[in-house]
Amino acid sequence: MYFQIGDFLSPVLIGGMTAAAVAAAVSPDSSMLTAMLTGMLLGVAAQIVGALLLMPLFGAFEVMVPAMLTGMGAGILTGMLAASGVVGSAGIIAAGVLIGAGVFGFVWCRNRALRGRVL
Amino acid sequence: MNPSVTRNKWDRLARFYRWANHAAEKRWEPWKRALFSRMGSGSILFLAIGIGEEVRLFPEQKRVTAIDISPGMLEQAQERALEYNGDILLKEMDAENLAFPPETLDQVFTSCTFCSVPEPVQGLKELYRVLKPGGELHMFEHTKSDHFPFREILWVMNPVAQRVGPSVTRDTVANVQKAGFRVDEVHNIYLDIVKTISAHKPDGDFDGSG
Repeated sequence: MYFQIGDFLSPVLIGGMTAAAVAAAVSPDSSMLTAMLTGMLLGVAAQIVGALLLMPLFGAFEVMVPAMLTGMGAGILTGMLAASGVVGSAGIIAAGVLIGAGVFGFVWCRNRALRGRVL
Repeated sequence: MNPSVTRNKWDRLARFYRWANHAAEKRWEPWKRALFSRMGSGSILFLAIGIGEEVRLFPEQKRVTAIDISPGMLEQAQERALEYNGDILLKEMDAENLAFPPETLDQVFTSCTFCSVPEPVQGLKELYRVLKPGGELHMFEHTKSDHFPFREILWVMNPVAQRVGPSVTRDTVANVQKAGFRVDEVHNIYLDIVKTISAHKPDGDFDGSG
């Protein structure tokens, strides 16, 4: 149960961290391309910091793989959202958290499909 | 790669290895225990014992020779080896250059080893050389993924991962076959990245050049 909670929390936290950084760094005046690139870089930074902090608690690949998917995905998507000016900081952070939860769901489903004896 | 480069890298990592890998070891414990339960009564080599974290998962009363390239790791493994209810002989040795005569071992076990051996096929050919015909190879390893987007993620991670520790894009199942082994079983534990591999050295000659 402990590790299952960790599997959910890790991408959600990294998604939230990424989106918070994006909300602070990207303004609605930014061009979409700049916002996406800034978001991606912030996402990479958040995933490295997040993975380093969470790996000793929850595992290795089980943290790293979702962290990478979340950091890049949340960075790009929340960057676009921030540049569009449609929602405020809270909305951007909520989007980051949702992307993290989505990554958790995706990886969980893929893991169910791939694990087990293959030969 | 010069063995001293590998030795120094793992000596440096030995200081915080336990802290960094504690959760991963806990997670993977049931699968490792199941793999090590295949230890028989013959001569057993455990490759890259590290700090000896897995010793407590070994079945009791086995005779195991456990090697590692890093004296720093072996120093930490010493205490756990002494606590083991059986015999563990620790030796400093390079997996690519084993100091065992040909065809002397019955079983070889590895745990997250062939992500770090600089020339994995060379290392596996050494295992092939020292195993008796019919001898078994049991591995717990992480490998590349064949599936999008995990394949791409590991590929992006690999340059950094290799600098600080292991490679994350090794095709270990294919490397085992290239070294001449017959693969009997592959069991995915996390996605198609973390897995156990069981193989054996077939009877009869094989030059290992495949």
